Amino acid sequence: MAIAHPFLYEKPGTVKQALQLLAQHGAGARVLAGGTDLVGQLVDGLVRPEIVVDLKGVPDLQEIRMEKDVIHIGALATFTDIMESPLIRKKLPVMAEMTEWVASRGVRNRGTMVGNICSAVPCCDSGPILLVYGGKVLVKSARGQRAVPIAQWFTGPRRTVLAPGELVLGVRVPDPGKHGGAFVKMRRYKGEDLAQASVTALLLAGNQWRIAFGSVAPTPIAGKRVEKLLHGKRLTPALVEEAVALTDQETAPITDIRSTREYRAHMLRVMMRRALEAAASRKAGRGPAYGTELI
Amino acid sequence: MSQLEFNVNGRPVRLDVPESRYLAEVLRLDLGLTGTKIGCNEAECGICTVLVDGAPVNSCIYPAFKAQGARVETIESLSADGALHPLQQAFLDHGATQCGICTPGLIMTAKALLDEKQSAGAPVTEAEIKIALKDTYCRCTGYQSVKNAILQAAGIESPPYLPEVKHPGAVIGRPLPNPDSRAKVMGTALFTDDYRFPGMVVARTKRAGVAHARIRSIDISKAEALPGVLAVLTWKDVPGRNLHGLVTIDWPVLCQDKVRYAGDAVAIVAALDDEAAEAAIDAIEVDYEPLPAVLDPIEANRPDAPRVHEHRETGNLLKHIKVRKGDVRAGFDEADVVVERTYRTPRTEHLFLEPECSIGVPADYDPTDFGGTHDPESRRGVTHRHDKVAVYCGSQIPRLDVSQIAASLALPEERVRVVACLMGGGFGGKEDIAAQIHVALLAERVKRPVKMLYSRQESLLFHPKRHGTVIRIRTGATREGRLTAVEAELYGDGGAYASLSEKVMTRATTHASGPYDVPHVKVDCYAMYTNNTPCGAFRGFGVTQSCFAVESNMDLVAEELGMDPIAFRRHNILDVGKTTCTGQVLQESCGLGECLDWVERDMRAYHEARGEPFRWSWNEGSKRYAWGLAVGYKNTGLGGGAPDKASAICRVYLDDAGRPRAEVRTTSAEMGQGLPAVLAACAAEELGLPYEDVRVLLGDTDVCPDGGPTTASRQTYVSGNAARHAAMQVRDKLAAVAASRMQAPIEEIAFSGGAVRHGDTTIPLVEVVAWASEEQGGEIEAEYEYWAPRTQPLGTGGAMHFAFGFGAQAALCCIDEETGRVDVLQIVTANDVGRAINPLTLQGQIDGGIVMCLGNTLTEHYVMEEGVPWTSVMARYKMPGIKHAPKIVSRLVEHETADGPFGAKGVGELCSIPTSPAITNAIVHAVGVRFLCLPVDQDALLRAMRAGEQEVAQGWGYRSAVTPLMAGTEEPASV
Repeated sequence: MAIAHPFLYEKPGTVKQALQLLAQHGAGARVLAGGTDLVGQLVDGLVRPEIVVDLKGVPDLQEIRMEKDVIHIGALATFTDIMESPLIRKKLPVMAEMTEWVASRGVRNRGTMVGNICSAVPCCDSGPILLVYGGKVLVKSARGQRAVPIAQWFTGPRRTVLAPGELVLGVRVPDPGKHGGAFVKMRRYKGEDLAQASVTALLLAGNQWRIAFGSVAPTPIAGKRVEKLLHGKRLTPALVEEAVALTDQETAPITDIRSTREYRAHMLRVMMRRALEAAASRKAGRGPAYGTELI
Repeated sequence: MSQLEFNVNGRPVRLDVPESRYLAEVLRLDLGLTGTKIGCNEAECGICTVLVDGAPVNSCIYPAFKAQGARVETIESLSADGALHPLQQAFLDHGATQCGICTPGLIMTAKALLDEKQSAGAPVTEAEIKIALKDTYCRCTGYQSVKNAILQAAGIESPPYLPEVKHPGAVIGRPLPNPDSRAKVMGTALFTDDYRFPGMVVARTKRAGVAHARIRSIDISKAEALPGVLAVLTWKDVPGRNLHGLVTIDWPVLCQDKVRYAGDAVAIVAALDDEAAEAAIDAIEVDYEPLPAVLDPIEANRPDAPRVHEHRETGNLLKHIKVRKGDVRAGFDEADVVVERTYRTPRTEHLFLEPECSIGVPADYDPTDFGGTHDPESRRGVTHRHDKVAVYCGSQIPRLDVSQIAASLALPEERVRVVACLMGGGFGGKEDIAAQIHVALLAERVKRPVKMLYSRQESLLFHPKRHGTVIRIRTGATREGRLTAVEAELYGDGGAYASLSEKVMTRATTHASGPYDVPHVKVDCYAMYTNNTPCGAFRGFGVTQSCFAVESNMDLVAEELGMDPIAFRRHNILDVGKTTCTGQVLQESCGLGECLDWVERDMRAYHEARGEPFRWSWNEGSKRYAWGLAVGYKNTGLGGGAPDKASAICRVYLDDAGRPRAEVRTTSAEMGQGLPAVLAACAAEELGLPYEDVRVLLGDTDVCPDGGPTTASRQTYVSGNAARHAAMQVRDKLAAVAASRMQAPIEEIAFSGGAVRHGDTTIPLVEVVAWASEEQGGEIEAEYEYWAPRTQPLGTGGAMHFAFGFGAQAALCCIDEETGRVDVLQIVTANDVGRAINPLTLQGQIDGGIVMCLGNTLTEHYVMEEGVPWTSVMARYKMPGIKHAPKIVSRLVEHETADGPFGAKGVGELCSIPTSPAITNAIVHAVGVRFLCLPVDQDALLRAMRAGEQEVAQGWGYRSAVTPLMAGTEEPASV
């Protein structure tokens, strides 16, 4: 079934041309990267843009590279690119772990991380990962450039601080140094993400923890109470249980047709336990390999 | 329009296409590469997978322009030089292509994996296959053959999994690929949407979208005025009967005064392109007066419930079905243990991966009027086709489609031709009329070929599902473990139209005491109309639902008695000489005891291999493991007094190279079950011809005699017999000629190995065929109309069915105590199939049936809210993928049935029937929680485990608890 709604299609060759098109059409323009989200919305008639600006003709946007102490992931880098990047696997292994569980291979081969945070659906898996790694979104417009910390990026379901005329060039993640972490995503059955909630844990040097939850609120959220509890301490079974108990205060899961509040709350606790334990053992060079199903 | 330049299958391609077009559409429409299939347009099913620069992508949502400058590979590239790629060969060898619609996607996904592993110089593992293919679905194979085929193609020793066959013949009992499999693995097999006719236009349907409403007015004027719109039809434009139906004719072709479910058709449109057709649908204005809807089958039976069909004397009750045997009161008096529970099963979706498609071709159609040439298909017919309206479609009952189209178009049946094309899965869901009548109406109106292809979402909305049921069942047994009585009450939610509800629920009723010898039985079933999506045939045909209730109760009784579940069943199973609940005394072919023996042996073998004694359950860390067991049976054939027959033509001829060949023709349908293989084997065995030299033509009502509906596990039996007898008649004709020329008695003439033999004299068949043609002046042909043994209606106490298949299954499950997740690790099964005609295609059906019902048990629920499906997109319906597929250990039990072809009976439904209770019984053994409803939701399971509850009555997707059952109509306990 084709898209019944007609629109202009442009494939600029430079960022400058892309920005000109965006400036010209304002809110009537939509940017196409992988298209996995936008195309679905076009088919369903949820968006009716005047013009679709395909970024694929802009060179260098697919790059994943290290600049000084910062890892740069271009707007066109697909989940597969990230998953297979030796740089990401070495420097940001939890990000690589997350990408392995994004949708299907056919979708990972097209979908991009930048597209994922721009569509900003509550179940966006890239959000929690960028939260724990402290990522920033690199935004450019005809007026200039800004870097938005991911914590300030999402403003609601399908809403971000991105303004008409602005273009995301990529995300930038500071090198976290030696660390361990885990991304645990709740699924009804293996590889299927009906219920979607996720817990991400990151253990940095000096027993600093970063915790994030996905799909439990309108936007990805950080687990501040758990971070504070664990700060500077060595992880013990008793401490894990304390952190698990705090999970209920961090999140407010709901009951919907896919799952009950009670089950989601229970699973968040199970996921918290498994994520903390895996993160600590991975940092110590032990534990299950990244990508292993933890749930 | 913009210019797209890329490389497809090694060839540079440059063409102008609209910007909004997807890669799959460019491949299929612009380049004619129809090997790439479209299943959902949601990137859910994966059957559209092609490779872009070596990486698999879902081409159905891949904007074509993203492939600018890229290298695209499709299934057609693999055998460009005529030789099969190792993956294609392996899929053939393993029977890993059944209906074939997903095959190109599976093969291309696997190719990307193998290419990647090869360039890395690493061997591929089973785990990698499961990860790579986890989002490319298949509804037929159960994935075991797919996985083994990929291993073989990767150079890893992995022979096809084949159960042992008792007495193989020359062809019968041998594993042979379905004759159409080669085309399916090459991507050249044509499904309905793959046909193109010059001048063809597209069609769309305006659907109600509301559950129940009176139509005040329909205004099509704006739609008609739109550019590109050729016709907009409403009920006023139906010249004949504005109704269709398989048993009860109650389903409007186009609604006139009211709509009864959200998928009802109100108007249809033909237009030059999709965009115009969509715009026309949006521009049709229907003014509705909302009516209260009835959405629960039990509430539907109340006298004050809203009426779905106003003028029916029995209100919303479609049919009250009764089974009476003995005296249940006396039976329960004799019982030491009585167990009663109320079970609930959900409405479920077939999810055949090919959405419905129909093409109408008007009478007097001449392709040259549209710049085309006469299509080769037109040569197929022996009658002149041009005075007929023709409909190409995927249909399980092509001959009945002819009658239904003719009735609605007010044409004599001789003026209608149906060409049933290959089906990308059916499972019962392609028995009812979809768009066959609509496209015929539109084609006649616009005098051009018209194609109506449903989107996945429209398919979900429109077509009949598996019945949701509520089943209260009471089982009594003596302390010694003898069943004394079964009493049951069933409610089936038939939805807005009758479809096959009466028959489906009859089957649920007559199988409601299980494959057991129960002296006293009383069952009442109420097939109800509601404003939900209609329900009809779905593999298992009601027995899937009642088996879940029966076999759950059997385990409960066994537990109360403190008996082993297998021993308890063995005490009570049906056998030759025993009587079913409808009063049928079984005369032969009842191998359930042997099935149980095999399953028990294979369960024990699992533990013996681990050097430990057998146990029903055990724990490892936070994982609980357990076996569960269930048995089942299923009739072969229509039964209940319905005349059951099939006709086939067998023809022997010399091909262009002068080789003798045979052809078998019938309208019976292939939907992935392997019927052509069975028919070819039956004919080849009788004619002494190599299997490869028999071709099978199905589904064209102009040239094929009527094989009847492809339903009720009947085709191997009835069409197999028809093909066999037709081949025997051809053989007799040849034998007569050979006998006279060889001066030998006709009864001493034998056919084998492509030759005719008498004593030491051997004459090549080719010569005998030449002689016979000379004498008879043409090809040697015979048509045989096979009539299955007579059956008796329910209530007469006679033989309701001419054969039953029997089966047993045990499921090994693992439950994660912390998450409630259920994994089915292994199924051991044994099925009494009478005689295995082709173990390769037979095992494919068994694997597929088990995995299909695993979905029925764990994940599948077609959820409706206020009469509108929540399950509106495929992403909301989770069918099993390769990661869910358990290891399957399968045994064939061959208790031949006298009238079946070579002793065979049906298996297509049987294999999926015991799966659900086997799994739920295992869950009880593992964690002590019994599911009284399906699907088993891990959320509900975990909550029950944590709360210490032993039974779950309301699982995922149910909006409310079971409505309390009303007492059935008072009847004398004994009839």
